Amino acid sequence: MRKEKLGRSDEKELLYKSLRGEKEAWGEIVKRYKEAVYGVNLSILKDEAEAEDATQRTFIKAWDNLEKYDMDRKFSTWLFTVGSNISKNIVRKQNRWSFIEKMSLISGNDDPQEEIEKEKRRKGIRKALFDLEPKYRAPLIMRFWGELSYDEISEILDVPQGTIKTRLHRGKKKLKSVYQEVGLNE
Amino acid sequence: MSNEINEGKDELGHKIGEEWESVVESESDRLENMEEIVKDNIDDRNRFKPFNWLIRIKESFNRLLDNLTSMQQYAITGGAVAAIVIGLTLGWFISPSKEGSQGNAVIFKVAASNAQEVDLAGDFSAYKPINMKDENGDGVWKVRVPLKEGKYEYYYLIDGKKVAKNYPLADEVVRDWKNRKNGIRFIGEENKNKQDDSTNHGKSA
Repeated sequence: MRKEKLGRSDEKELLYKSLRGEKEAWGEIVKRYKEAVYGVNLSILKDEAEAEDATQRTFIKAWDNLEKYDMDRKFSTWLFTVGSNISKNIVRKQNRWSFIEKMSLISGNDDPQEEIEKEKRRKGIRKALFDLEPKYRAPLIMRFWGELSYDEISEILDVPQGTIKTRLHRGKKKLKSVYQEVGLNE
Repeated sequence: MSNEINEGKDELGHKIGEEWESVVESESDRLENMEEIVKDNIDDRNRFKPFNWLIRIKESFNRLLDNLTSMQQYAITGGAVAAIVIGLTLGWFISPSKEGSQGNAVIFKVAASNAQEVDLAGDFSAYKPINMKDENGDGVWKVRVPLKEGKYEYYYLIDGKKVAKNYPLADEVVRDWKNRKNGIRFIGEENKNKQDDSTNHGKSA
């Protein structure tokens, strides 16, 4: 994650301006955080279009609820929490749907051909990452791409710190075995 | 914190970080102009935020009362209350029908730059298409629909077809029986608050 964009000294000023309703200031916040929020949402959702949708909704919901953000806390953690709640809700609804999909001939995606192409493009460690369960993938991405602390990951995903450590450990093990199993070592 | 982060960041950790960076970079087209889309949407939301005008009236009224003697304050407050009561009573009798209430004008918008015709359909129109307009020619089609408080499901028809679309203004996205996306809007403060419990995180007690 390109950290130089995040947590700059003028961030608080932009947030105060946003609280006063200055949408240009919020636009600057979106510009700085959109990649980070997208990366976190994609780690939970796995689907690029869903992650894009969730990212837009994250910034709209965060704007609507900005007065609930405590200025003494780290802004990125709060923003990622808003995003991860939106993404987790989407996953919950998808799980409800997956039962119906299995019972019928309905395709699981809007465009099956696009899904096949997408799968083909995913190789090596990327494929192994996308094949992991979200409960392992999300902490791995937050830790090693987002460089977030255990404490922050625990807060964002609303999971105890001990569980996060276990999932990171198991996630790495699973990733290694999937990676080796498919013989895609680079 | 950096020591803690480096702990466990072995070769695999580095690979995960690098790979995810390239995943996000390869999808940068999706994120282009997101700030403009978000600004556009929050702008419209603000304009239609209910009760903003009431808060402003209350603030102005309080400021006015601060500068008056207690006798004048009683007179003004009494006058205002009487005016409201008379207004409401008259409104009740003059109003042609309670059924005809128009509700809030809620904006719906969708980006479809190459479309010839775009329609909105939802449970509020019994899924009959409502014609949308691209007044600025910028590919963003809009329509305002008067809606009362409640939960509404909707989708867009682009050139007559229901297509897979994102719903940035939706409070929720659900799937229809064919597993295509539909947006959900909650209109009214009471309904909207049901959705907002996830954002209290991070607030000190």
